[in-house]
Amino acid sequence: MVSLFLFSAFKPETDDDRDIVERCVRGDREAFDILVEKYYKKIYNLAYRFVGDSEEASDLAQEVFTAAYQNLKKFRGDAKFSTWLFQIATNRGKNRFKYLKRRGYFANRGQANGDDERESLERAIPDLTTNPETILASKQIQKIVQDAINDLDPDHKEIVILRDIEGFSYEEIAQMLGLPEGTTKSRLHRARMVVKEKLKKALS
Amino acid sequence: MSECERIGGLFGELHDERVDGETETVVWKHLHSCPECREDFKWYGMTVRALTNLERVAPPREFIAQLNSRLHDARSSSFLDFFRNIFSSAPYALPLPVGVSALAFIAVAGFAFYNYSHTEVVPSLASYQSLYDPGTRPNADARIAAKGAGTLQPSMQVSTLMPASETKPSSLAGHLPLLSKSMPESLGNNIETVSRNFPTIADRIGADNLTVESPSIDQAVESLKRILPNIQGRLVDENNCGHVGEVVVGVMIPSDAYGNLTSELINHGAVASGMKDAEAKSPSPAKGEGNNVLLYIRFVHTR
Repeated sequence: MVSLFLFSAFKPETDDDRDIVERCVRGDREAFDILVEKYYKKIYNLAYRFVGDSEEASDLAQEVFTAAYQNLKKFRGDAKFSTWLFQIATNRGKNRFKYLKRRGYFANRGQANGDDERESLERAIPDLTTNPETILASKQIQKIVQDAINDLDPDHKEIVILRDIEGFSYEEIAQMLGLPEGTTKSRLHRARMVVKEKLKKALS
Repeated sequence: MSECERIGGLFGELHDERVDGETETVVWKHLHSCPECREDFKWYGMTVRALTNLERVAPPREFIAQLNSRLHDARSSSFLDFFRNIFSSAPYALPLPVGVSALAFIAVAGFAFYNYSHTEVVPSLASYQSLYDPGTRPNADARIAAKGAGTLQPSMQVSTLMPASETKPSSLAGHLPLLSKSMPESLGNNIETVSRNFPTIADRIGADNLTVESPSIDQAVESLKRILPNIQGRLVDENNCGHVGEVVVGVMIPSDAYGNLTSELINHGAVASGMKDAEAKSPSPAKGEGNNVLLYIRFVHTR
């Protein structure tokens, strides 16, 4: 019984995608379509959180899958395929975000939204005495949170996205980003504090 | 660091329930007594919920189609990537020296093939073109002026068939294994000397036969036929190989007369040349038969 427990405790995490990935590497093109079907919504969502725009997110997510397809032979199976895929997505997302920020993409978008939208946002902010979950689900709050994410620096942004939005464990994030778990946690805490201040400011 | 800052630093662990029991008690005790920290912790929790409750954004409807299009392009280019990454990608990974050796081998093989095709195919066509195209008649300087016409001895001319610029010195005997084996060394040297003057055909077309250029092929052939009994030779074949204005004559002669005949022919303007590709259906080059040697002589019109 004890040995069974130990076995299950130390058994490496199984990768559901291993067989499909092996088929891909052997040249089975349809196998990659299965992986696309399985992950494209998650990757798109992650891409969207990085760049905050559907068109850019679509392009970024396609780039991620293309890169994964081209580099599949380099996937050694040390980590799960999903971890590897999200690692690619995070790296590409971070780079795309930096690129867009350098070009003033987010500043221009903020300006384009204009004062009208800000006013409508302020009008639409619900009364804090109502159910907090209802408040958080509102479009306006979602927008405030996304804007706050956009304002984070890339190192903090990637951790918030991976942990709070995509739900990866600290261990997986540390593996993806090649960071110690402690650094991951402290960065996450700082990122949440920044978002908290923006949310508090917007809702107060 | 104030107590409030220290407690604020533990919000994340407290929220994720990663603090030990003792720390948790201390934190909750502080939160009970500090309204600001309590408010802050409330906002912290709300922020985390706001982040985790962010709506999943659905990809556009055409996403899969666009992705498939991109993947199709990537799949096409992966054929090129095979060559690009041949030394680095598994499962084709090769040690660098092996890879370089393989490339060198491919280069040498390619060069050899190119050389083969250059000598065996292109010149053959070129020589045929020059045979039938008076406008492209090459290297008049290399010709030996004929004395008279219509007979073998005085009328033969050498046809180099190739521009002088494309010629290179070489040993005709080297191209004539049969000659070099069966002929006395002095005769071989003689042929070599001649070949230096007229190396082109031997170099380009190859080896074992003679081309004789004459204004009257019939008379030249007849002259040859008259010589044959004197050297105990005989005519074994005569045809035009399907080419107008060209006759190929096969003669069987004693090997010791081979040198005499070829010298005679060469002295009167013949030059060793091969009959390859285009004449593939014609008799093969010189062959031995006991002490006899089979020699093919091609007669072409003087142009």
